[in-house]
Amino acid sequence: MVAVAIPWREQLNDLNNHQSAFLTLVARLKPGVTRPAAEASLAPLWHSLRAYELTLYKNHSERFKHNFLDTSHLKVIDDSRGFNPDRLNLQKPLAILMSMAGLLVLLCAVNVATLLLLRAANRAREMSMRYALGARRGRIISQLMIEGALLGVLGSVSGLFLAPVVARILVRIITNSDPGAEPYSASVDMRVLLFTLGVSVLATLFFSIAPVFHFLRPDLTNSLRQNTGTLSKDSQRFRKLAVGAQIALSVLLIGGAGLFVRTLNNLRHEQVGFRTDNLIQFGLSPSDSGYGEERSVEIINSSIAALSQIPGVTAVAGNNDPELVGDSETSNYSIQGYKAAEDEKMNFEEPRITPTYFATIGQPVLAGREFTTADTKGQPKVAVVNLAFAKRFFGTPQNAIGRQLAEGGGNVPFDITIVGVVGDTKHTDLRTKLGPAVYMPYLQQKHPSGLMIYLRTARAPETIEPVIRQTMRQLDSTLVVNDLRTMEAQIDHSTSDERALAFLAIGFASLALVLAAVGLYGVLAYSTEQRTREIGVRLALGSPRSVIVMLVVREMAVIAGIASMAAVPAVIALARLFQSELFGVTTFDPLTLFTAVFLTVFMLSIAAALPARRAAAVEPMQALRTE
Amino acid sequence: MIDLKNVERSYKTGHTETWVLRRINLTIREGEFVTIMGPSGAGKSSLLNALALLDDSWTGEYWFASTPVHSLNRKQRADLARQRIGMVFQSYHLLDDLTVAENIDLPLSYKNLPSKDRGGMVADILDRFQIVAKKDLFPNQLSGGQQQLVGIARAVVHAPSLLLADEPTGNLHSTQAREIMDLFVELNKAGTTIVQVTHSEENARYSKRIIELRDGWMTRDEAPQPLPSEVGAQ
Repeated sequence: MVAVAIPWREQLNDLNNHQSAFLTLVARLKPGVTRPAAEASLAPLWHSLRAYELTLYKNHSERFKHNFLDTSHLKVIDDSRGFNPDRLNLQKPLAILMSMAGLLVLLCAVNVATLLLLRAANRAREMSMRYALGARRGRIISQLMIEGALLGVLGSVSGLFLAPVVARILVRIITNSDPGAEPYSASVDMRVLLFTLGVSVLATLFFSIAPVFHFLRPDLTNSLRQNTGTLSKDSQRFRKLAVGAQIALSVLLIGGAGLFVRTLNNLRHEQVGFRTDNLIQFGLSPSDSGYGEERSVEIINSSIAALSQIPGVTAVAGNNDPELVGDSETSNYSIQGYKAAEDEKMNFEEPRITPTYFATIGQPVLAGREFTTADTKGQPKVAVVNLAFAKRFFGTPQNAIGRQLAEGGGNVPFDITIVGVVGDTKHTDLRTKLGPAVYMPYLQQKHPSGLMIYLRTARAPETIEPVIRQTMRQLDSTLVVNDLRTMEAQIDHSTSDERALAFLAIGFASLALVLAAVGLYGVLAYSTEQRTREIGVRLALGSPRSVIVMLVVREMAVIAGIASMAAVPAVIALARLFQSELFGVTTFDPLTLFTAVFLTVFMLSIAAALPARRAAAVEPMQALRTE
Repeated sequence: MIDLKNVERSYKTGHTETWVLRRINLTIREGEFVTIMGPSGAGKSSLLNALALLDDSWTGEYWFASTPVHSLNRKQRADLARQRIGMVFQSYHLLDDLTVAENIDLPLSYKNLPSKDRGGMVADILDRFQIVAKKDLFPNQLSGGQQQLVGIARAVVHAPSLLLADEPTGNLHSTQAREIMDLFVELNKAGTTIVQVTHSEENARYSKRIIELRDGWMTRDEAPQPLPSEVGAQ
């Protein structure tokens, strides 16, 4: 016996409404039945259901029938991990973040390898002594690997302890959620543990091997004598490569972060096509409070009237297809005198709006008028189209006024008159401009439902929010004020993914830059220390101190310059790879590239300043005595 | 050429002040070959470092060819040293990643001379010291004596008025040491004023004047004593 559980928010009417698509069906496969087999076996059932549904559409074209029936199929997807559209939306951003994290791990490993190699250079005599006293190569290698492994274990364990705390804080910041109400779990389970272990082992192996290579075939004679004042060529080569790699990775990460930050900035400053200042919105759905659709219009009208009386509120209106929330309500239309091509899509966004909607949200009316209270049920059907619609089908906004539309295809009466043309807007999100759209009066809707109510205020919206709740409570205490927020907050909300990406990218890039700077500082500091005698000799022979500074930093400056330039094509390639996540940013964005290189060079200059200063302050007398 | 008046140098460590040079009054004429001797800790190297203008922390008056060094600032002293003084070190202090020719060229590179001129000067010195064949070798490919030879060549390539040598034969065996000292005598005959610090009595006899320091004080200033064999020969 199957009990039917009806979602508490929806009424039976929606179950009977063949145009209503709000349910996700979940089923369990019989043992032995695969997903493709289930999909194939459901196809005939789906086809027959669609054939029946088609009969309920009184007027439709052949093309509509083809799209609705012939090319439609039921998709069966794996629900063993739950169904969450966010997972699909976040796949690419998460892949980007994972790549950045991977690059950061690589940078860390190179950094530690460099520092271990610097330390190894100091231990040349010790290791050579061990070899000279009879130590086998394997013994030396295992000693070095164990030392590296200890570092790796220490780092990994510390990271694992910190990870849940940091992850929870990050999720809270990114999703703007309250403590305990984070939408994503940040707990460390076995999968996270094993993954971290795997990455740690790889990173540890990488940086532990560097000093091992240094001591595989030591030059015992020279090392035991250790009568060298300058660095060996092999060590120098690796250090240069390692520092160069770190700098290049930093530029890459900073460039990536720059692209995402610019994307976020572009989105935030994107013109949406209506006035976003002093605009508040909230969702109002009479059905949530148990009212049927026959009372929806009355309740909505009463609410709008009550809200209009609030001091400071200059206009109130509603829309069943809210702006910038990711929703879409479309319907099929035919245009009198226009024959659509066979494959031409005639589905357009179809928001249902209350009178004075455009005036309320500040969307310009380019021709004709907007809806009034006279445009109600029983009156001639009217529509307002947007500029994209008018241009596409009529050439100019003026030409669109008075033209006739019909809802649906096929032999349908053209009983809808275009009375106005409004400017284009962003609708689903900030990235996508709304294509051709047909606005219809809410008051003429066959099955009126809940709306997003918009209020234009004369003063700061935040001051009016409590009054809105109070007004609605006074009107009807059962009515629920959903998601009350300003339009600015809605825009912020709609860019939360981009903001999260930018925030994390900045974090990774900053860490990378600090690591590269620390790496460079370590190499330069060691180099300066090792070259103390050389510096002392040069000073004793008459070298100006400025020449000494140039000597110390020049080599690294050249490496930094080459590495930065080498990273620029990588940033461009990255931009191409993640083009879909960017907005208003070209793949060859000069500002981002320049900023990435400039910031890296600036930070590295700071890192080099101290060793350079130390080099310049060497006293030749002391230096020559050091030997 | 050099005139020191009441030159003193001390090091402060905590509350203790250690004097390494006490009221040094010394005149060295142009063309002299002077040896500074004394036990360890006597202040020999400190005096040499002061003469070389490597040390700034002494007090008193130091006149270098009528230039009041004590009135010059650090940059002016460095310029004077670069132009007029050459230094030879006990440990040679050659740069390992530079060839013989490059090591010799090093002090010239700090004098803003055209590279053509520098090339010529280096070639002259290589020829004079008979180390042309070794010009492309690195220090670790040379013996101790050869390295010191290169060190001296480097010190004199810019024809300094004053050559200072700190234990120049300290790391060499006797044959090499004699060769080096003979070279110093030649340079001195050619007009270079030489001041050397040495422990070796034998090396001291190559010079014409010995100054002895003890506990920072100048205790002796006289011509070197001849060996008994030399007295017999006279």
